[in-house]
Amino acid sequence: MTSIVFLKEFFLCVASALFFAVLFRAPRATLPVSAAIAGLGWVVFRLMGGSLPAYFVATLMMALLGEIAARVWKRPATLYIHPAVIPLVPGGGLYQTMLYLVEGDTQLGLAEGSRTLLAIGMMALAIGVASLIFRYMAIGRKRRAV
Amino acid sequence: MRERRGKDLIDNTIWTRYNRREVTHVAQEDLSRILACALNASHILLENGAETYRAEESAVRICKRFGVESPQVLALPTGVFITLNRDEHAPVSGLKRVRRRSTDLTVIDRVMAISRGIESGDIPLSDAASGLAALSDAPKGKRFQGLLPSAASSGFFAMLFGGNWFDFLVAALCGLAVEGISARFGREDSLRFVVSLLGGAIIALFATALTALTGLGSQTAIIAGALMPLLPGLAMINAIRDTMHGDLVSGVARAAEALLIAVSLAAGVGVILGAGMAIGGWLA
Repeated sequence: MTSIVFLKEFFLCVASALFFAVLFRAPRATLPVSAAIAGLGWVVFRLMGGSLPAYFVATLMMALLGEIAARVWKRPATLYIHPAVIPLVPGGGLYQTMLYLVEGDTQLGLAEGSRTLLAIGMMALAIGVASLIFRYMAIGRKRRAV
Repeated sequence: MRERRGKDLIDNTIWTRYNRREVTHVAQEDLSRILACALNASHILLENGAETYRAEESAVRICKRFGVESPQVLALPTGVFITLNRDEHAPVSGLKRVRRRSTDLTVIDRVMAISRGIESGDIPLSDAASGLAALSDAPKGKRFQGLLPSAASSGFFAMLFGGNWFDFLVAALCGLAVEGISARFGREDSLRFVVSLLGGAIIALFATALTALTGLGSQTAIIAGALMPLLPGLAMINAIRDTMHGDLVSGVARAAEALLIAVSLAAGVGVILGAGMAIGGWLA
């Protein structure tokens, strides 16, 4: 039962990330790859129960896959990572926080705000870690003579 | 002066001269060409949503490749400064303002291809300069070509957030309207917040009105899905990444922009939701 739910969400996530990538004017050749990475990341995120560490692990996986894709097809990793992480980004939380605050509900606003900020921080950290791993280990690239 | 690698015949007008004659510094007119090329590359990257470090690194890479020893590059979300120093001569500087910012991954890809070509020696400076000029002058595609993808992704996000087919349709309608507005007005920096405010209000209006009138679908799923293209989540991630990378000014600036956009969205949605509740109470 749950696997069917995950399968359905996988395809919905792939579809929404695909169109988002078109909105970002991503090159055509990168579309299927970034959408597939988005779907995988979402499933990992849901399997881990959507907790704060899940944001980190799922994003790290997506960013690593994006860096690998970037090395394979010789394009900037951003092209794969940005459309892929979009479904996971808790932008809704940022908005919800502001909505609570606009409505005067400070308690809920602060709770939602801290959670959202932590989640976004986790994702930024994961993308940064993946990029560092590939930059400083010079994976898939000849070390340049300096 | 460090000896240059012998086979670097990148550009006949610049590189050969310095190689053969072992001139110790780059001449004024060549410096300006290098400066213009680096400024352009950086500027185009910033305009199209690249990370700050990427904009700085490509400029540094271009300058170094053409023999400038330690180029000073500072990229900010609103502009890029470059200063090139020569021994015993006045430094040459340039500044290029970034007036409009959007996301165009294809352009980033092209600029990075040029920058990589320069680094590997495949692209001479004159070709790089004309390639970059073509990229910055090119019309940014059709103005309303984002309508369909925006509608589709809003719709699918609404379903992903627990909506049904009705929510898909309403969210797609919202995505269409919002992208229409942002394609018309969103390119002006000063109108960005107005677009967010209006976008939030339109989404909330459609979601509230259509769910209330038909009794179908979920208001929350529609709003959450249709807001996705407007939300500054990715901007916030990039802000934190910039800060982690040491680009403190860019990081703080981007975070401030993201928070302001979130406030405008919330205000737009909040006004309509509040009005909806008041009207509902008045009818009941």
